[in-house]
Amino acid sequence: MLEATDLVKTFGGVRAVDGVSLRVMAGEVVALIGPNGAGKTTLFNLLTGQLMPDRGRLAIAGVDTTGWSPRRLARHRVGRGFQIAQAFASMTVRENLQTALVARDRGLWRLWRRLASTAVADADSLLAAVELADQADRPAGDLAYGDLKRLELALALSNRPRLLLLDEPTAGTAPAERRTLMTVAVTLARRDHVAVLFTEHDMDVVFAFADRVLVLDAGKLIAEGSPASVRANPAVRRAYLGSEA
Amino acid sequence: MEALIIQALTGLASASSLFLVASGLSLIFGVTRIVNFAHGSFYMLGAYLAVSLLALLPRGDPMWWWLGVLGAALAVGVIGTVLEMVLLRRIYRAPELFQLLATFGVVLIVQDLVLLIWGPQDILGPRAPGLRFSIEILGQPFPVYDLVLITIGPVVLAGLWALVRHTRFGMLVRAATHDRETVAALGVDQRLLFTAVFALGSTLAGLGGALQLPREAVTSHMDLAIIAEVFVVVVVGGLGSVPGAYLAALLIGQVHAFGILVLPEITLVLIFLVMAAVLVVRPHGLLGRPLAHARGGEAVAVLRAAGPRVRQIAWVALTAAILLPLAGSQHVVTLATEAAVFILFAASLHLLLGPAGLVSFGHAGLFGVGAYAVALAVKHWAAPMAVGLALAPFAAGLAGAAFGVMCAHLSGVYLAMLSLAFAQILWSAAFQWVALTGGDNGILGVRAAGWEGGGLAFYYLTLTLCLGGMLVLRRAILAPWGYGLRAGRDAPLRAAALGIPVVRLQWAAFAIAGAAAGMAGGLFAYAKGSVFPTYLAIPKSVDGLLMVLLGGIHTLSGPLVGALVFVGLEDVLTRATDLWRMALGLIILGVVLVFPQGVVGAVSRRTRDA
Amino acid sequence: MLSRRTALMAGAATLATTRIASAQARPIRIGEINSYTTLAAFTEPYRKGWMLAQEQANRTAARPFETLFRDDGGRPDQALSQAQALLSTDGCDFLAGTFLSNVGLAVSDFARANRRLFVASEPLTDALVWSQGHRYCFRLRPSTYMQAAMLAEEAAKLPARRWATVAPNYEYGQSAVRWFKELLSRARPDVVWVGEQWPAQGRIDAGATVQALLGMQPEAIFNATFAADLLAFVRQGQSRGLFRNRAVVSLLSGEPEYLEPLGDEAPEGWIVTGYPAEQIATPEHTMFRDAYRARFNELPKLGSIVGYVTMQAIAAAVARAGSAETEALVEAFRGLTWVSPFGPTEFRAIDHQATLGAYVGRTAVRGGRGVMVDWRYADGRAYLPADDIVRQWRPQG
Repeated sequence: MLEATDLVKTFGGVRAVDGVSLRVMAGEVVALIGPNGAGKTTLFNLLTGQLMPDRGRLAIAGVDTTGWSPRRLARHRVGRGFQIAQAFASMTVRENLQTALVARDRGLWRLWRRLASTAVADADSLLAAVELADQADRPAGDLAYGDLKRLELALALSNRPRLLLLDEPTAGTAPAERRTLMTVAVTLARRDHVAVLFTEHDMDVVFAFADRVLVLDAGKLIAEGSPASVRANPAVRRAYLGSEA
Repeated sequence: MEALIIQALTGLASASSLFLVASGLSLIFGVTRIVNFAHGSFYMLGAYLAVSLLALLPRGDPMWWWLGVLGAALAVGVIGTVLEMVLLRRIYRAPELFQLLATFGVVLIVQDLVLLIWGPQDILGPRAPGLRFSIEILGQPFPVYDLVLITIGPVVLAGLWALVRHTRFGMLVRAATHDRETVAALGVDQRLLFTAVFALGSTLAGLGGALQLPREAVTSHMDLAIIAEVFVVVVVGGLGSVPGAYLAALLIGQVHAFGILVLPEITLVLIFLVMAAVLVVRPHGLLGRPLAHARGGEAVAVLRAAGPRVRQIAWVALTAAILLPLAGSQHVVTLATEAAVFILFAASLHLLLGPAGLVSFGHAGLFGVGAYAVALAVKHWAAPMAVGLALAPFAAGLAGAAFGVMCAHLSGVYLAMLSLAFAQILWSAAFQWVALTGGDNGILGVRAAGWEGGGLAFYYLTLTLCLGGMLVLRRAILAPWGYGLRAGRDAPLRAAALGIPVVRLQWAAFAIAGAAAGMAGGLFAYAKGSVFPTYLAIPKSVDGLLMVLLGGIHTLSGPLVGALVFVGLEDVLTRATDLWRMALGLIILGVVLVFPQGVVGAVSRRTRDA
Repeated sequence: MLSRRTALMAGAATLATTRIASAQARPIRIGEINSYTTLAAFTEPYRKGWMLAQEQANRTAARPFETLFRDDGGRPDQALSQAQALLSTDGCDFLAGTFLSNVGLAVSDFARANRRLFVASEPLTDALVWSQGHRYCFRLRPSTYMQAAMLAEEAAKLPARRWATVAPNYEYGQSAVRWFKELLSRARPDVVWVGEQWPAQGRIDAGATVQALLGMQPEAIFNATFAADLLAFVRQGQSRGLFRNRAVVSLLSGEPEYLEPLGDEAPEGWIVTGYPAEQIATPEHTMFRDAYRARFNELPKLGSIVGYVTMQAIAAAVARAGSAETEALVEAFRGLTWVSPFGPTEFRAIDHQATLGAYVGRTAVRGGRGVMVDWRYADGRAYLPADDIVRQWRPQG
């Protein structure tokens, strides 16, 4: 579903991402891990169109998407979650999703019909899926952070993505909350056969949910494989211990 | 050749004075994010206080003269500090533009205070003893004092540079300007930092004003005369950048000096053209960097369609508006017509300020395009009213769309300043293209038979079009389009990741707001029977901002209530007292302190809590 | 501060007296609009002069006068709101006042549309009585054309051939320069115009402007800047030697409002229009000056004269009409003659322009203050174009 080939991004002479190639299949849940400063965020921003690669190619669902803007990727049914949850604070939770759904259906150029009566059922079923139905009428700006993360997930899922890119989907939430959050995400993804790539700090979460793990260090992929094999990989241990020493 | 060098030197002297004032404004903005309109008042107070102080000190001794100037600057610093502590400190958590409203209230109050204390006469302050002579440079006499000024600029620049680079205070200033989290992480008392920066900034403005004594007259117009120019310098230089301010002051000083030689007629607009050009090429000014995101914690309320109670109130109000002419007074009808026009004007500005999150300081430009479209159509083609009122929104909508294209890549204060430049360029066209627009004498006799301004027919027409226009805008804000706009404002990255075409939605917002403002302007032209360049001037834009902010940005009925309050206040105050500016200023400060969410914001908050 | 308070108290006092008088007759109410906040240096003495004339008139008038003063904030649209309110809510019989030309024109247009009388006191624009003139508007002060003509007459006597001009960049400055050039060129075909400077009103960059004028190397300069711009222009001109060995002909600069603030830095030998208040010794002026001094404890300024004479003319017209009704007053104003502090004055029937003149002389510094010397009274009558030209310029009918 996602195929990146030899991605390179340089900042002022430093190769933040240095020749990374990776693939994620439909229905597969893949974790991207690495010590701080390994280039995860940069790589993620390359994949989501936030940054332009200096070199390399990106293909999603068989279409060359190199250099596409985030908006164009969204149209191509790529869903994205942000490390710091981004929702529309001046709208209620339901309105957040209504807006996202209307955007998906290219209905934003309506100036007369009220949004209030648009896409209510779809919005509510998404809210139910992320277990936020009871918060539907609260302003998103007033949500607890865990609930905001759920909303974020619902927004990322709103365009029926075939590829879901989640940047630290559980960051900032309590350990108990993390599992539920990831369970929701992974269940939905598997149900709809969505390809998922996520970055994560919490190794318990990684090993519990990922089918496959990619390890990034100093801009390069240093290991790849099942959670168990990666856990046993000496290079990975060195990278983590080295960075912590 | 000699003449050109002398002209350049003259430009350098002006640049120094501009820089002193601009550097203070830039520092204040960088740290507190306040667009401080009162900075021009500090400058003016510096000049007036220097006059008073120098009158008390022994004359003729250079030392006393310079001490007097410094004393005046410090006194202004004290005034600035007090202002920050008793006023601005209380409203840092209000919506960002609300501080602008507060500082504008201060401007109004200071204007009247200056008249009361120092009287209306222009004052020619004492010149610096020992520096009254001129020396020959390349065979031309050149005032020595200007040479001194030329050196003061770089000296102050060096001092500020050292302060910002090498002291803890400076480090905090830099951190606050570019990386807010650091300041919080350092555990610094932000309030102290803000106060200190305000004190420093206002002292610099006061110094700039006091140092002008030998060069120009001290008048009660100095504040507004300098403020627009200083905004230009700060923006061209890059907000928060002191060296940028110096560079920009040099640029603007030279543009003035040589503009006078080449194009003496367009001196005013020239600097705005320069600013527009700089911003199009460098969206953050010459030496500016993207600013850290503004203070957090701004309360953003959820917009709601009118509930049953609001609907009831609306019906009562509409009935009252329809029955109003029965009250009999011609003046009431005229006033109500005007209020209706300003409701639409404010609603159109609110569309940009509120849902779209696009701050415009030049909205009067679009209002004026509508007014002039009507006036020109009536004057040159004797167009009937239907044609005029179709043309006005069309022309202003086009102007809004053009403007939207120009500033698609800008945001925040840079956008505000580019919109100001846009309006100023239109203003100068109205002012100086005498053959077409009649210059400052305007175009008179904009009337249509049967629809005279102040007449009943025209009142009902205006009421229909303006309230209708406002309802259309309201409807659009509550439609998917409006939600798309707000999505782009609330979380631009998220909006893009959802495939929302934020830039195009905003562009449409400019066009639609332009059309609505143009309709208001066109009706205003008929209501007054004449158009003047003042319709596009900065004060009209400020009026619009006042209306929206008084009502509250984050409410749908805010602009309506704000416009009514503003028109009513202005009418009552200007007829009741010559000190209406002070009265209006005090009321604005009162509103700011008591209702930091605007009048409607406060009311709806209260009812929700209840 | 003090003077302001006295003026306010004076206002209150007259209101009180008119209250008593109104027991006998409803007062005639005048709606007066002016730039009280934005041009206070002129309008404060103006209001004092007006009050003085009103008090004098009320001693003898059958129906007392009452004036409502309103501020236009320097904006035509605010002036229009005030005009509307004065007529409809406050029940004023007619309108008067205004300083800025565009405000004057706006109120005049309003008066035409509503068929109400408007007595314009100060605005100088020629359009007010000529191209935009109409039945309901009368103007007191000598217009830009008239004052330019007074100065052009003097300028023609100078040997200078190379002339430069500097004027604020709006209608007043533009038409002053246009008329001065046209009239001087007519009298002196050998004159060459070497350049123009157009500083923005209130925003002059004096150093650069002076330097630009120096670069033109003129033998003489025509100046129309005033107020704060004039002060800065004079200072920079002095220190850069612009006025050394050069004749300067300057509009309005002899008016106390603009000459006094210059103090001992007032330029020497400029040919100016103005008002040497302390030196004029005609009986009518002495009487006015003494009364003004007794009332306000200061010398009158030109604003005082304009306010005083406007109110004087209004009282005379009401007396002539025997009513405050618009059409009767219009007829009374046409050809009205009265004796102002400047001498016999008339509102011409042909274009509704008053023949009030101005004093033309040279500036000098005496006792640390700028004064006018070698002055003479230039009667406005002598500086107006021939009647057939006026008829061409003014819409007839």
